[in-house]
Amino acid sequence: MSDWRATTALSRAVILVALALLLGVALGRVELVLLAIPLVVGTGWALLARPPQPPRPRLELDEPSTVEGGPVLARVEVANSGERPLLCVATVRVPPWLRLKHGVGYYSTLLPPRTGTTMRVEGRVQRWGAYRLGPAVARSVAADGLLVADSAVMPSLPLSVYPAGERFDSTQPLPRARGITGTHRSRRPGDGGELAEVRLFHTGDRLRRINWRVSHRTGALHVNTTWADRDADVLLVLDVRHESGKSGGVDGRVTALDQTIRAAAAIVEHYAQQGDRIGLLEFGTGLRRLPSGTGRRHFRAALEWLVRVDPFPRALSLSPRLLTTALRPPHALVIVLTPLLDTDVVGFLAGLARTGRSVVAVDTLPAGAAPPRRTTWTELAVRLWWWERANTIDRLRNVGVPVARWQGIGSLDLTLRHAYQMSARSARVVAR
Amino acid sequence: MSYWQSQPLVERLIYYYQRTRAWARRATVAGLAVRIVLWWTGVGVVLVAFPHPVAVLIGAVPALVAAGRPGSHWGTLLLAVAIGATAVRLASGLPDPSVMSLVLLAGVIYLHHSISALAAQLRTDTVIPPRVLWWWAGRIGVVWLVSAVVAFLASGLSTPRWSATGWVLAGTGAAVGTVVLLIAARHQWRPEPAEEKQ
Repeated sequence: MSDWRATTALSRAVILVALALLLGVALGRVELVLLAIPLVVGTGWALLARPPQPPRPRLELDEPSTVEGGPVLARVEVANSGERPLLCVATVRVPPWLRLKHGVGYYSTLLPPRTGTTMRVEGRVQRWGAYRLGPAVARSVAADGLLVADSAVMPSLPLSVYPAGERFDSTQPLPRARGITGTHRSRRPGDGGELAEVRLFHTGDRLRRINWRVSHRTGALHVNTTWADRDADVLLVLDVRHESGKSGGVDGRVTALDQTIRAAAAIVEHYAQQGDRIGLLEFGTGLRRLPSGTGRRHFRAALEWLVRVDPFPRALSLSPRLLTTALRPPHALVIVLTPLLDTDVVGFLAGLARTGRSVVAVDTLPAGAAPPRRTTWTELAVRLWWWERANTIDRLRNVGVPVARWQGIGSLDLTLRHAYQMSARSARVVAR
Repeated sequence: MSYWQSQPLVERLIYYYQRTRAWARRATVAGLAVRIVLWWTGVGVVLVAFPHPVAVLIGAVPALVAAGRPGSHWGTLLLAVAIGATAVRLASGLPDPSVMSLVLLAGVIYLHHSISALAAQLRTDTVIPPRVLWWWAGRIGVVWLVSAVVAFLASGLSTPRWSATGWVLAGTGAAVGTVVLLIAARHQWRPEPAEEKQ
């Protein structure tokens, strides 16, 4: 059985020709035959040649990943093996945040005989996320629109859109640096760049470490000692249980979730470049985690992990107690990215600080976040709520949780220095 | 939401307004142009078949419906009514329409039929390259030319001296033969039953 199907147009041609000819015969008026001539000629010519096998189109994506605001290019490739031109109409289902350059996902093209052609689906993705482009179908139209054939459904293709946040950079060392090599100053003497002390020469000290100026002044050999440089463990906890309004994409309105994901991507990129070990933990409806790792490959894995965060937060979430048990390794610096919208997370942060963990909170609630204005009291209620929230943040700082608003480059420097000092102080207390 | 916006009728009107606005945003120029040309050709068919201002005003509505739903049989109905009306004019005692007007009507009927076939496959929000439209227009032009030649040749043939019964038999045979051929073609590409597709 042929794949081609007759359309309404073919039925219309048959009905109209039959009507004109039979009326002409019945009334004995040859003029009515005139009305049928173009329809007979057009339909006859269209059906004279049997259309070829319908084309088998393919959907291809140039790059399976991009960044927010980055280009996406997909192609629907079709080929006509017949002797007559075909019209091809492709329908591609596009992700909600893909702004197409042309149209909304319906494309047509003319397929000349014995050639192939490509329909380009191009646009820009406006928001991070794990999407699928497609599925797609293509309809081939032959014989002047009298016959059509639908292709098999082309399966959808995965498209990862990585968050493109502000660049993050920090010059502050991380507390509790471990490992063998790295960029952070540890509290152990060793090879490194930062001076720890100048002391008397001992057997085994390297000659190049002798401080000649001090040795000359004191009359005894002195050497410089430095703090060893080590890498550190960083654990990012993403509080994705709440959202603040509707996202406007990369160029539009920023929500708490957008801020959280973009900040996490920037922090991961920064520490991955430094060679630190980074783990990720999602505090939402589930307790999804990415084990600690380092290197470029781990950075890509972290980005893939980030785009799979549920973009529709639900009120139902896990207990923070479960979260506490998942904070591994125990010596890691815990950076909690949270919009601080409920008391659960505040209690969790305070509890962490009390147990002696190095913890830093990053406030990801956008500055202008507010509920929609419902009554005249809304504005006042919102102001009160912001004051109460500011009080909560102050209380958190008092119990030893540095809280910083996310502002991109260097936004965590002050809080990281605070965390480092707290960690050093607690280490000294333990040493005594 | 204000009091008025929460009223069911207003809410529904807002909903339809938003849907129309969304449709207008999605529509492409070429997609809309195809529909507008289809509507005009529908009006043209009515104008040539019923050369009266009131008939044109009345006919514009079904032409608009046919342009809005080109995949349905509204277009078939419009064209069938035009052919029927021409037959009635020829059979009644009214003065016969000129050959030129009949040729024009035949051309406009085919134009409407062909554009309707194209519009049925293209949504208003489909991206349509200009060469698709040029190719379609060229094809219609070729059919018009060939039809004109066929009509000219047919009119130039010497009329055989048959009896009235012979004329009726020959005409009926030709008409039925053509229709049977077209129906055979229609059945050759009949849509497959759903169970056979599996």
